[in-house]
Amino acid sequence: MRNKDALQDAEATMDESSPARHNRIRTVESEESRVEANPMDYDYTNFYFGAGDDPFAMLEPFQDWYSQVRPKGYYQYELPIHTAPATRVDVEDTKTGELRKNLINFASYNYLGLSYRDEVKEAIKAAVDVYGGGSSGSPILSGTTSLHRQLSERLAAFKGKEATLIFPTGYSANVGVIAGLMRSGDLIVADQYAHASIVDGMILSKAKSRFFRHNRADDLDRKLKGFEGKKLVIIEGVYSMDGDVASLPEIVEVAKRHDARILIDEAHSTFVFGEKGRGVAEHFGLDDEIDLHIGTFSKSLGGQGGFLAGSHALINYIRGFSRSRFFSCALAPTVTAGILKALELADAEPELRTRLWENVEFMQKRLRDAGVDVGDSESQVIPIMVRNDALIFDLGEELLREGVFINPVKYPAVGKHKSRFRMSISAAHTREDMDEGAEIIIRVLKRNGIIGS
Amino acid sequence: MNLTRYGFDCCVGAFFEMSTQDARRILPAHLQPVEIQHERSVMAALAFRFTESEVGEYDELVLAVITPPLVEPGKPLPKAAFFPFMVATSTDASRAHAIERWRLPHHMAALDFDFEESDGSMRVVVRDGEDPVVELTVTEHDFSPALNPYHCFTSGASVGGEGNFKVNIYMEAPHSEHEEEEGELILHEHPMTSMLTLEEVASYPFREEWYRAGVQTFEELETL
Repeated sequence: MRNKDALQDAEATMDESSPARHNRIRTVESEESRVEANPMDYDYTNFYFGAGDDPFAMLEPFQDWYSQVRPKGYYQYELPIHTAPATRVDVEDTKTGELRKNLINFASYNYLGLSYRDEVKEAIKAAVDVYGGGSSGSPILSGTTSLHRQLSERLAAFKGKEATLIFPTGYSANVGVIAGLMRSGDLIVADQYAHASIVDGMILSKAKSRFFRHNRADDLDRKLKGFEGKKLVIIEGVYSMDGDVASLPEIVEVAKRHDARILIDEAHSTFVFGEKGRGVAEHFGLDDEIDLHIGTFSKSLGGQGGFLAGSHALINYIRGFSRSRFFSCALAPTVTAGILKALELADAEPELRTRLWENVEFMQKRLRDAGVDVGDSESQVIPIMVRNDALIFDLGEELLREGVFINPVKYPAVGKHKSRFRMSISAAHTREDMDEGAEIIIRVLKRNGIIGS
Repeated sequence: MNLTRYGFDCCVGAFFEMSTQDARRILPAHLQPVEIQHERSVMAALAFRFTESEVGEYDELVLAVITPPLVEPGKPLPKAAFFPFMVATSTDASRAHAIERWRLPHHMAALDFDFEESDGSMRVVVRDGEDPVVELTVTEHDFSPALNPYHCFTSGASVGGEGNFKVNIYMEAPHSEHEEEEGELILHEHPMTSMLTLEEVASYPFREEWYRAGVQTFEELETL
């Protein structure tokens, strides 16, 4: 018997035979007031849905919670920086009101240190004189300038592809490309750690979405198996929270076996990996096996925006269907000019990548030798694993006070008890920056029992 | 308010990805699933070894869809909210009690439970005669004292009745929780699992929870 009429059956059973009717176990008076919630046990996920019919019903509970947790650590997000994102920065401590000066910066993406190079700033200034501030139009209408055309062509040459398409942000590149290509009834399978922009692109496309276990080609195989129709596999070159690299050879083999197209998001790996700096696909010698190459200008090039690189046919098609691009204003010409110069420098100065990798090697070794858990990082993104959700903000506060600017990451951005600091290494860091920064970090971790003394 | 208490010496549970299509089919119209990822909702598998209750000792397995809690100003924030869609127990009296008092839908026959603890993990095997129905493995993290509030939603329609309900539940015990993806779930074809597309349920959990000996307290059933 299943549950049809189970209630009546249960009531009959209870009436006749259940010890419950004797109430012999504790049924006691209310003591609901004893439950004292600790606000730090909650996070944004608790406030996603609200009861009732008013969309504003969640505002008051959220505000109550946020006003309690912000001074306890959440203030460490969106701290205003008063300088360029160089290796030393002045940061406004919004909890104390102080301007913390000359902090060692391990938080910015500026992997090659290009955003504040004199040549870049001069190019931006020159563009202001010609083009003014914004581009004042969609790229398909009036927003495309000669600078955009130059950047597009120069980027295609750098990536070794026929063409590129420029987007106003990295987010809009993923959203626009994925939703521009895939349709309802198709299948998209992405790594479970895929960036939110990839996931949002999948949602917008209305294709069937599946996620495979991080970097596991065997699980990708399972998720692709048996599906008849158009298939797209999506991975990232370097994963932004862990700094580990896609197991590309295995993933490409599985995707090809299932006749799936492959998209790689090289936001954190373009201009870093590969002999020419084209990314992880080049690093593995699989550049031509990948169908869609996505990247950003905001990481290594220190600008803003995203791009797709591929065949002429692909670019022309996506140009016509990427709504996130043609319903956005084009990149500002000033930003475009800065990126163009930064690209020129990144291309002409491979020693920047060499220096970056020397710095990565130095810092990884320095931290590992001190017993710091840096996970599976193989890149300039180094997670400093704390694995203590309750302590992470206190450590962040100590680091800020003692001279290091680095971002704490906790649930739900990463799993429970996988809290960490995300360190970004730049070619611009000097050995002194890294030595001093590592020393402070190690000291704080030791003091708090995260690593042994 | 009357409280109903259940003493237990073990409660292990884990959250697994399931298809949102299944979750929506299972849930009554007034509830929606929490999606951990696009088209991926959350199924909880929970196993209890009750040592003290109004209906004596018994074991219980709960399969539930995770839903948003009913956050209300001035009330404790729940840790999670569940809609149990299938429960199995080891005794007839416990089954009758839970249907009558909490409107929990049950597999209408007693099943056999094995709890086996070893090397920081608890493996629970639920069998129907000789046949395994559910095999759940949960691993431990650091334990600390906890008093965690939950919302449990039930529907009279699930047990041949009417109305929609909510009950506040508190779990008080040493508690361990982590997201190391070390546990496992094996679901077998059985009436207990017939509401699920089995290949769509992840075999590894994204969150594992373990309560050592403690008390589960139910407030009164509220009609929604």
